[in-house]
Amino acid sequence: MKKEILNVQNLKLHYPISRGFFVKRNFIKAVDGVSFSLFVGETLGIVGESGSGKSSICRLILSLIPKTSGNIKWFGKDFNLYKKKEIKSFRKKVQIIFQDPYGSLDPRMTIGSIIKEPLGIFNKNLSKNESTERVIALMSDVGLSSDLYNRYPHEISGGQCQRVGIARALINKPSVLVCDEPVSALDLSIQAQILDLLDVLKHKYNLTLIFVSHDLSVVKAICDNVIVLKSGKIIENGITSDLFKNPKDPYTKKLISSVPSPIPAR
Amino acid sequence: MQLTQKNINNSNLLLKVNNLSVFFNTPEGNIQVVKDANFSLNKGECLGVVGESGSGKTQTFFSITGLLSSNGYCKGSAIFKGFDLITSSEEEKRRYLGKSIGFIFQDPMTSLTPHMKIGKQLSEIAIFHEKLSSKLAMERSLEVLDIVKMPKSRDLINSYPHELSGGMKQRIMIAISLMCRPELIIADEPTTALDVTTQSEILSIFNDLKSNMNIGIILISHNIGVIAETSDNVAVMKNGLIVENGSTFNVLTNPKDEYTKHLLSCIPPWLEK
Ligand SMILES: Nc1ncnc2c1ncn2[C@@H]1O[C@H](COP(=O)(O)OP(=O)(O)OP(=O)(O)O)[C@@H](O)[C@H]1O
Ligand SMILES: Nc1ncnc2c1ncn2[C@@H]1O[C@H](COP(=O)(O)OP(=O)(O)OP(=O)(O)O)[C@@H](O)[C@H]1O
Ligand SMILES: [Mg+2]
Ligand SMILES: [Mg+2]
Repeated sequence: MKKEILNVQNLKLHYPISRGFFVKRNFIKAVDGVSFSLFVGETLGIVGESGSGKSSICRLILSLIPKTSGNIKWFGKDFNLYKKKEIKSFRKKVQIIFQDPYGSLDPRMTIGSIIKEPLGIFNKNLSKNESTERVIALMSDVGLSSDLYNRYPHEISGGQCQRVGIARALINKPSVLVCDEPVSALDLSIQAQILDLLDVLKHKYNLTLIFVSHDLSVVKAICDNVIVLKSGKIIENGITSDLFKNPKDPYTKKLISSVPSPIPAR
Repeated sequence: MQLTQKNINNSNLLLKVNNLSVFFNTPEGNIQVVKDANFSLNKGECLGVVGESGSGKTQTFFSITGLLSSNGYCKGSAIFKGFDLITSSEEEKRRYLGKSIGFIFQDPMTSLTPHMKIGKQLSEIAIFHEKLSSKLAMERSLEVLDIVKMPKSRDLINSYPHELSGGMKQRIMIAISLMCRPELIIADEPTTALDVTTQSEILSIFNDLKSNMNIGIILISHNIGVIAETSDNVAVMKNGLIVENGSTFNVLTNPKDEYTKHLLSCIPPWLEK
């Protein structure tokens, strides 16, 4: 039996829309009754149209935003029951790569210190040289030149920012990584490099991944299982290869057939 | 060479860039990130720009539109409708930028003001550039939100940027660039945050803008499929150099440069149906 790492039951996130005094209270149901499990070493893909609730789910399961209702169990224990100390070690073990590469980096910090920061929080006994070496090694793993070490986020390119976010998430060797569109701004050769890196980590450290992507070729390449979301609900899920071969839901079919072909029409 | 010849007596020419170079002063010394770029764009056409992350795609177009950071500078010329954007005064530039030239930024938050409702952000552009009344400007805002297929646009105008998903923000950016009926749109990775269905809708919007409104489009993307679907010509960048430039069909089916070949070989095989 595979070990369950995360169990989500009937998760909901509703935002009130209260516009004006006399308007009836309405809700945006960003996440509307989602349930799924994640197992050790698994890579779970989440796909779905824009606004379907993918990023909201990522933030909810990490408890970065409060849920409206539902149950989230991490490592077999209800997250509501986590003590302060347990939450701290949870924050080290479970990392997230945010969708917005610029917005998630502190503009006043240099690239080097952004990547290094989590090391300082969780490994107080690491020497300064050791931490710097670890940062530079990881920068090279994600294809960033060490020339960028002293630059600020606005002084590097979009794809370089995205890789800084990836490096920051990996610096503490997490056991679970939640990736929200982690390679969307990267050209294919660097995408391949990052995906290879994740693959190595998967095999070496049994890394468990949640992988949000609108790029179905990437999802197909790396995910064991996939969830298809629409309007905050799971409309289809299953083993990746089955789902691609034999999509049941009309929306999934449309999604699979909308991938633009790189072979130009004349 | 032939391309340049053709463009000289071409009344359709919208933008012509000559020997454009971009430099930055950094703590590690002076670096050049764009090296002698040459390309041109006709009205109603789309030029795709592809290339490695960090190869200089964004900075090429930041320099043309006067958006380089304070430690950067550029050389060369960028003639937009007979007018050099590089050497022109700030005031002249302002006349074009944001009105005749729409810029869709790679980072949506660059052009969205955090604490202003979407409807206000959009209509202020039309009030400023087109001197519309606020009522007409709001109507125009709803119109462009429809063009970019934003659902429930009447609720949306009362939302703040942080209440929107990544893909929604990206579509607001496209809407902003359309507010003033531009002649040139520079779109920097405009569909990276979009799922494939929304992406193909946006691409068909670009194709409409091109053919129905004769707008020239520069589309920066790392996604070869996106380029193939919209671009007439494509420029491939690596390390600050345009290594290959030609019709999309020729470049993608018969690449000459080693890097272009490499880029095409990275396409996952199942995509090439
Ligand atoms: N703070 C908020 N207030 C109100 N509504 C919100 C807020 N945050 C998100 N939403 C809404 O929740 C819905 C889901 O958003 P979410 O960011 O999860 O979508 P997504 O699937 O990640 O989309 P994308 O692919 O475009 O990134 C959207 O309709 C969005 O407008
Ligand atoms: N203000 C700056 N100071 C120094 N270097 C900079 C500055 N801004 C950008 N650069 C560097 O210029 C190079 C080109 O950046 P540019 O943003 O044009 O890349 P890009 O091709 O758009 O890449 P991406 O696909 O990742 O967005 C990068 O190596 C980047 O680090
Ligand atoms: Mg999202
Ligand atoms: Mg860029």
